[in-house]
Amino acid sequence: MDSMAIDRRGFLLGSGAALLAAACGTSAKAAAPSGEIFFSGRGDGANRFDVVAFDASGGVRLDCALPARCHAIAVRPDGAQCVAVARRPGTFAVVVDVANRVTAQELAATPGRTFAGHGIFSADGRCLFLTEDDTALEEGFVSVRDVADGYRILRSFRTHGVGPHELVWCADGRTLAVANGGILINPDSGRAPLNIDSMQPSLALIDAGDGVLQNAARLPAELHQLSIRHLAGLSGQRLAFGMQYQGPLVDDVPLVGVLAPDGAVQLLDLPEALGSRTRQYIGSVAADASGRWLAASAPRGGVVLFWDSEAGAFAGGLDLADGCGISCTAVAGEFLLTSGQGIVERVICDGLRVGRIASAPLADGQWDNHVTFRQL
Amino acid sequence: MSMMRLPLPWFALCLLALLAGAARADSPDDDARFRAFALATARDYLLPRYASLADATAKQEQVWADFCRQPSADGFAAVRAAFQSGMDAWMPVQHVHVGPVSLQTRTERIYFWPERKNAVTRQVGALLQSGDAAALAPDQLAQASVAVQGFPALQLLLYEGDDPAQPFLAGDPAAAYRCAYGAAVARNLKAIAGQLVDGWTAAIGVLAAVPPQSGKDYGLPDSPKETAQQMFTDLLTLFQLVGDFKLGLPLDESLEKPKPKLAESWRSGRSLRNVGLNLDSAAAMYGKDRASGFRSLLPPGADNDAIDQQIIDGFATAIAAQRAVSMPLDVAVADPVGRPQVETLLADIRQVRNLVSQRLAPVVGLSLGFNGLDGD
Repeated sequence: MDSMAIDRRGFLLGSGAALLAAACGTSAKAAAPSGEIFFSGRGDGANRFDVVAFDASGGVRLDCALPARCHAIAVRPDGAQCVAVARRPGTFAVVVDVANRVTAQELAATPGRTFAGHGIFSADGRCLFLTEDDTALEEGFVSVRDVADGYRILRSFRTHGVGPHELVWCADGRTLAVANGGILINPDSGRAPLNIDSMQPSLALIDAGDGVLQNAARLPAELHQLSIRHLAGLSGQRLAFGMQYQGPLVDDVPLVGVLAPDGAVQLLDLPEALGSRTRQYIGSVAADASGRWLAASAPRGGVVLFWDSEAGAFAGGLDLADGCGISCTAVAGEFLLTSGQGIVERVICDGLRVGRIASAPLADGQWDNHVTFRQL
Repeated sequence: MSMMRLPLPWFALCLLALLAGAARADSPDDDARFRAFALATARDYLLPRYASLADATAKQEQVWADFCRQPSADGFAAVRAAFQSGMDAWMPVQHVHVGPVSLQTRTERIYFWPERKNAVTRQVGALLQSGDAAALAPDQLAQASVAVQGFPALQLLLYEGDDPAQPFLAGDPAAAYRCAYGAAVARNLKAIAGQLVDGWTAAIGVLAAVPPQSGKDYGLPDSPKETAQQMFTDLLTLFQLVGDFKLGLPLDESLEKPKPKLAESWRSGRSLRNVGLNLDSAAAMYGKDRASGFRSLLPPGADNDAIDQQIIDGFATAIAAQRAVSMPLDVAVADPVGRPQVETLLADIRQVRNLVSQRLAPVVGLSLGFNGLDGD
């Protein structure tokens, strides 16, 4: 691997200007979209936590206090409500009325279970799906809630694995992909893993209607300590998944993979200079608006990594201390990045290079693990 | 490298203008405080250490040139001594990621560690096998894999095998190439160290400029607070490097199953010396008095005096514990007497780290690891 191809702080001088101009030129019309809204949890460094929504010019659209730290925000397709899900093991999910900027309702997990940090709405906005942990049964569940009926629990189904975390829709619109991290915890004692030696992570594809397991991707036995945590839908009905390795720091293991519709799994390589920098930890994955570009954040390494997923080629890395939140924007080839140190910025990928567009405002506060994009 | 110098299309300029106004959420007081801190740290702590590295690597280059002109046992001892001096100069800045070292993969080119896939041995071996003279030209080597560019490659040449001098003294073409390669790596290190001194000299000008200028060309973030934040992250990285990697990896789980070959620099017998140099540098970065380093950010007051004293004492304890390890690290981890000494050192280092991250950070207004330490 040519080490010089990666410039941590931006793209290489020389070709950079042309690339940026070309990329901006093709997307100039779409590049100042008025309806871009980004949702994320935020801490203030003094144990106050909020759910915040902001637009592309940094205007704050929502800033609503939460009972404790949340993890990810599920946004209803119409943008009228969002749900901030508590960090794992979580006891609350707060429904927020976005227009009026107030808490509408606080949801509890199914009795005996805890929330696992992520949720997602159905495309028609009628149902909310939340991952839940049942540590007594040592199984993951998804609870399905009726939005119109005060988020009443309609039913739940098994995730066919332990320690479920993020869930996303597959391209068919009816299958849910659920990341089963494989790690067993005791919610009374926090997050200490109890089964590192025997963990069996999986990426389960489940029919959201009847809860039937359609398929499950598992890693080779020697990689069983790779906890599958985060997901993103790519072009061509593919799914990207980000992992966290529970084994030794020096082991050379992949941290990002792509599942093709035929079930084939491709584990993505990193340039050697970046491999040990990730500290075996991916915090979030996202696809751009086209589904071609894939981003994965490594907050422990302070770097965000990008691939051209269609070419299977590593595109570059950008330094971002404690950077974790990533989402697409309205513009193909772009991502929005956030950090725990108050950074919000848009970046653009083009021609196997990555460049920063600008740092954004909202510099106060600690942006939490995930950011969710909606075009409204 | 700055985006600001590129010809941007109109909308990007609008975006930049829009964001520039809002990006300054820090108060003017904070700005001044962090600017003074960053400037002093760059001028009084970083630049002198990079200047030492430039001196040591310049001398090392000269010694290699002399050695290759007339290889001898004395000459071999001289290049080994020059390597040791070079490493002595690198260790005090090994943890630093802020600034010019973050550009052009310089950190990894100087010191690719910890390596994966046995990359250094493998790739240095392949290069020596090739005998390719063109690969040793400065611009070629600077573009090659990071594994063949820096100190770890020199260590392999100088310390691998029962009689490492012999391959240099054989008088055949392979010996000549081996020497030419060592000299080329030494030249490469001198060039990079020179770039770091030049970069920081210019960066200090930028940090001191009124009105403020962008330090992006030198790998500095937008605001003084971000620069200070990165310097703080670097200090904490040092604790992680030493604790998790340098001590944690060779210690592994038990006396019965240590991993001495995972100790840093075990070949050149400097594992413990490296740790000592790291700790001395960390203490210096923290500050030599209340007017310097991170100590200058501590507001006056009895509570803060107490925190300061605890950290000072913590450093002294850890440094004493390093001096107290009575045998080489790779031996100590497998020795019933040595191992507890190393474990004490590790505990003392974690104690200082906890003080710095939990007690110091909130008082001086810096944060860390909101996402990276969240673990989800």
